[in-house]
Amino acid sequence: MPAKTRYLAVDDDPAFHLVLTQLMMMLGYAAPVCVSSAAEALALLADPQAEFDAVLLDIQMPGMNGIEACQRMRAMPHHRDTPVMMITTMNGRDYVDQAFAVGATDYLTKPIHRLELQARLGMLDRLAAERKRSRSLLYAMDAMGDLPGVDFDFEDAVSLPKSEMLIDYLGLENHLLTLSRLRLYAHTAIAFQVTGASGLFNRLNRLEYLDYMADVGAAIAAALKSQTFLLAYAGSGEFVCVLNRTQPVDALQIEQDIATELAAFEPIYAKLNLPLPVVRAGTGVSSGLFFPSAVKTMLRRARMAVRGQNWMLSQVMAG
Amino acid sequence: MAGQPVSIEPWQKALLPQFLDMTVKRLFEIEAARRQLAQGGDVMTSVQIIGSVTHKIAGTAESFGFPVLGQLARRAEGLCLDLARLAPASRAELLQTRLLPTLDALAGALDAALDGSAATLAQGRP
Repeated sequence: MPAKTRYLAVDDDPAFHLVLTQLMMMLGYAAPVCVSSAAEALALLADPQAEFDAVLLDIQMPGMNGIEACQRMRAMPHHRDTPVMMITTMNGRDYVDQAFAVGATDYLTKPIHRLELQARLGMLDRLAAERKRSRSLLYAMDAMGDLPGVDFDFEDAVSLPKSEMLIDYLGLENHLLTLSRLRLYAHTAIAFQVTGASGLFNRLNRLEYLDYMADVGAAIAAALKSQTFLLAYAGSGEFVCVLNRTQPVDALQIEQDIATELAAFEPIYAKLNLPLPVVRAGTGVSSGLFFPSAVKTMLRRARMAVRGQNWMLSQVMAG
Repeated sequence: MAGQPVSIEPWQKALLPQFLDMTVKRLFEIEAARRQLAQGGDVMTSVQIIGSVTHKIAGTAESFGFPVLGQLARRAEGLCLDLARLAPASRAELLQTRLLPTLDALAGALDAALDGSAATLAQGRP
């Protein structure tokens, strides 16, 4: 049985409301609350008591489009991590990139089919349930007078604070899957690894570690500012970036640019008795028309590339 | 029959009259925009209306078992987007040679869908 997720569906087409409602009810869901414009949706979402668990959002609508609506929704503190799936006929690269850049969780193209909808809603249900669990834990700790604690493992792809330039790792994975489904292949993944991240994780408390990684994320984003990209923290002191290009990437130049950006933080780190982050960039991993099947594994391969290079480097340094 | 919806399920059949009703109204909106064009009205105003209406048809036609209708609507929407990107002086050719014939084909597909649906809806009636 599907979870009791409360969905808000935003689409200016009443025929789509009919289709979606019927399909969701056939899949065992409650009928979604359907509205016809981004303005109506934002008015509903602004009320924290309305408690929508997930949002299904069309892109092309009169007035405000779905991309802007998603961006505005993310600016609401209580919807910063609410799962949002774009459901749209727009299948161009620009729309896909923009949607994930403003924080969409997933992207489904119309016409919708029952099995595909079932699979995607299942993912949104799991995310919504996880979000509910972590929120209730925070409230419980708050009620007990404890500071809300942050706990996670070194390998976890957690969201970083104050990182408007970063998206969630799941969003980046779904971005690549969407590009693959739409047969849009011209992109490159590149991974970055913070040297000695594991030691820092053990030494710092979790909030300090998140702040440290957020600084690195901001430096990587600044170093890539001349490119079109999406960047996410992948866990294990690693970041992964998807660039909208297939030309070779100059990893050494990017490493130098990141180092220049991080140098600005040097006095702060010295005061905190922390090492200035050193970031290694891996070899770019490209997709292309001739090897589309490789798209799904791009992020993993990019991470393996940077790990392999760092391992080789450490062997050389060790003599 | 060419216009009969493919592999229609009971829920689709139940919603079919509403879908067809909406689609007919949408084709009237397209016709009105075409009339404006023929009378020398602003090209981009009409193209915007046509693009918006075909966008909606493209989003749901296939879900009701009309893939051809959906494909033609998607093609018309794409042509509207192409027209918007072109310089005004270059629009007339694309409009005459591509968009208007596609809209004719869309109207034909809807006629076929209406005929086919009448047969589908009649099936199983007492």
